[in-house]
Amino acid sequence: MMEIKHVSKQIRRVDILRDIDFSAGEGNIIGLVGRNGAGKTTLLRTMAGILKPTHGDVLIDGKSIFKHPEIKEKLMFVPDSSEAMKNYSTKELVYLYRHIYPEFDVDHFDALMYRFGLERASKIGHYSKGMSALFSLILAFSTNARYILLDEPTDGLDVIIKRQVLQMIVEEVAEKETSVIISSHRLDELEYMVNEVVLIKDGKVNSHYQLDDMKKEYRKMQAAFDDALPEDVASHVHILEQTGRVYTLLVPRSDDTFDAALKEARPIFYEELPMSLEDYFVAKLGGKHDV
Amino acid sequence: MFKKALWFQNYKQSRFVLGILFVLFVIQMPLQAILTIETWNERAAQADQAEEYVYEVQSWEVEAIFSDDLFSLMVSGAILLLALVLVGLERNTRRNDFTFALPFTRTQLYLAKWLLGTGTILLFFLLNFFPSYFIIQQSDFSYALTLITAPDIFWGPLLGYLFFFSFCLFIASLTGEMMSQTIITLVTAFLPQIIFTLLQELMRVHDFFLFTIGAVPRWVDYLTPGLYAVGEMSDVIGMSLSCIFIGLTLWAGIFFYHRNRVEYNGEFLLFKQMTVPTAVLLVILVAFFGGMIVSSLAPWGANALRIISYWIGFCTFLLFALIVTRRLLTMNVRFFGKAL
Amino acid sequence: MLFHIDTHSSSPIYEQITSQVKEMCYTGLLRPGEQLPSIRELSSQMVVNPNTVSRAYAELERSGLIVTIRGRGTFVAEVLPERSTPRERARLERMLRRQIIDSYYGGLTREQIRDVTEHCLNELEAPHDGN
Repeated sequence: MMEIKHVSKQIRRVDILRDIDFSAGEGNIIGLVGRNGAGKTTLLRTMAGILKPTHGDVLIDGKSIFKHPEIKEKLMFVPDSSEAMKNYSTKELVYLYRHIYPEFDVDHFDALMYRFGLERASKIGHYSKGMSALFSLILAFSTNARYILLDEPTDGLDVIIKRQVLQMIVEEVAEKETSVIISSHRLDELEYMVNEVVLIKDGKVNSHYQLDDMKKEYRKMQAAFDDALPEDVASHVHILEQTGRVYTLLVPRSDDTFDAALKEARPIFYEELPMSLEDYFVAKLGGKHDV
Repeated sequence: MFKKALWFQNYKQSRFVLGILFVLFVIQMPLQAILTIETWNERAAQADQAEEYVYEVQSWEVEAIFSDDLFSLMVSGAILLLALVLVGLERNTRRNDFTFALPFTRTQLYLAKWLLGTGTILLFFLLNFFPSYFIIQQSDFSYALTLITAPDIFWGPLLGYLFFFSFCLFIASLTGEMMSQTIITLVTAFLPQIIFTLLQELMRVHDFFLFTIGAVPRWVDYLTPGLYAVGEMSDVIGMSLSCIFIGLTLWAGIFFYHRNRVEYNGEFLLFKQMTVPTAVLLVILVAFFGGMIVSSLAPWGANALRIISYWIGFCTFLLFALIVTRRLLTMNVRFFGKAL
Repeated sequence: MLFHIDTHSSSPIYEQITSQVKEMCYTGLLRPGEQLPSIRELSSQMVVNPNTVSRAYAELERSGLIVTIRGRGTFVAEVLPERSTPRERARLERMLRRQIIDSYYGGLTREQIRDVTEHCLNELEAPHDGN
């Protein structure tokens, strides 16, 4: 169990993270979702023990990673660039990680390298962007660390590599009891992979959901009215989009009075639409653009 | 404390500089010993032709082989460079994140760097000292070794180098990136001397003396880390102070490395409460330096003119320093893809 | 075997998987005793969370459609269970009625509705040759 306990972080007296509190069990894929600048990377760097929180703590199996850094043998942080290892050769990195992570599995490393068709390199810097993204993940999963933190692992990758990266994550989680925490601003990619979402807005956890619950919590509707959206209806819903008379709405399922209100308003037509994580995100975090 | 991974990581990061350091030590000691003996041979041969003149080696010539010459200065430069690649370089790039994410305490991280530096300096020094000593001993000038003592050529320089490295690494625990690390290390390495010189000059120009001026007092030397590296500290006080200062800088380095605010990597100083005093100090030093430089252009006789030119220099340099410092303080070396 | 995620469906992924397996079993695309992909394989192939696949398999197992033999894998049950409970059938009937009403008022003719229904049923009942 990895627990993020009321973590706050101030940088230059500005609150970057505010009272972040959630935990990650084993065998989960958790999406850390938020707009650019919401504090995702700061949170991940704090969870990796790089930054010290102003308040709060990060615990693995009840032990603080700041007081007992050796517990970080169970933790692996993969930043969004492999800059730090670019001068190392494949062999050197395996040597390095074998001595950092006692459970490093060389056979598994070789198998993954073979499977994803990566040649050993004399310098990681020689790999293309996609290859080094794959390589970082292979290295991370070979450590057998139980918690793997990935910062924007698919950012800037082409479709094929992206799929390979996501497949590797899914397979490793299926095979071991690894937990993966992925930060991303690309919801569509994560939608089916994650089983939990932590939404971050302005440095705060806006909501923390099991994904299946989320679909049960809201429904998406499309409705058109003679005039503008009536007040009675508007008070019940999030408006996702409006095109002319047609409104796309997000309606909490718990709201019993909505149906009555809608009937009252006599829509020209209405229908239920499939809901995606992105709709939810837009509704919760606001702003369709720049997500 | 002796984690293989950290050894490897630090070695990988610094091996180029370690190579330079080794080459400099080779040039300074064995190579210089050989060349100096050649020079002595030549001089002795010349002396033979002159009657009633026997060539004698001077003690400072022997000392210069082991310390106290241009090469000690270059070795000190390499030592500063070593501290730069061990810490400053990490801060300028993503490597700091990598290092701090490792499952080690910051004490372990700092000690690994400190041990790598002191260990290699010790090793290289020994590897070069004994052959050089042997070379001289086997030459016709073996008596030269009786002119000097072990503290002169061995303990003084060795402890001096070790302290200087420890000092450079300690400064690295305060600064946010390579450039500020270099500037602040160099300034603080000679700070007592600099302040003393500037004060003297101020008093001389204004013909107003708080204390008698002349040579720099020895206690100012003792407080100047930069002098330890060039082998000036071979007396008992100097060597004891080396040992004490090694301990002190190591302790302080660990203390500050623990409290590192990594989020300020890339900026001038990691500790914001130190920024303003440091900036003020730097500005004042530069201003007084300006006064000293400009007043030296005025003719010696014209006292009033010298005072005026002193303050003109003071003001121009002050202004200049203010502008530069402002830029330094707002500086953030943004490295590729950095995001908060 | 090809599973696919219908991004336009509002039903959760695990339900999509269970219904696709059901469909394949009843249409004969999956034969009794045939091995299903492992959780790891299926989650990798669909790029979905392994927990989702495992939940779908658990559900299918509970309904008796598949059996998991430890160490060997997951197989289609030799004897397929009754398709659905009476309550389930009632629900399906309601849904069908609603669909027909919608289609009728949506402008489909009686013939068109009948054609679509016939066509669909024919397809389902046509003997499969197993690939």
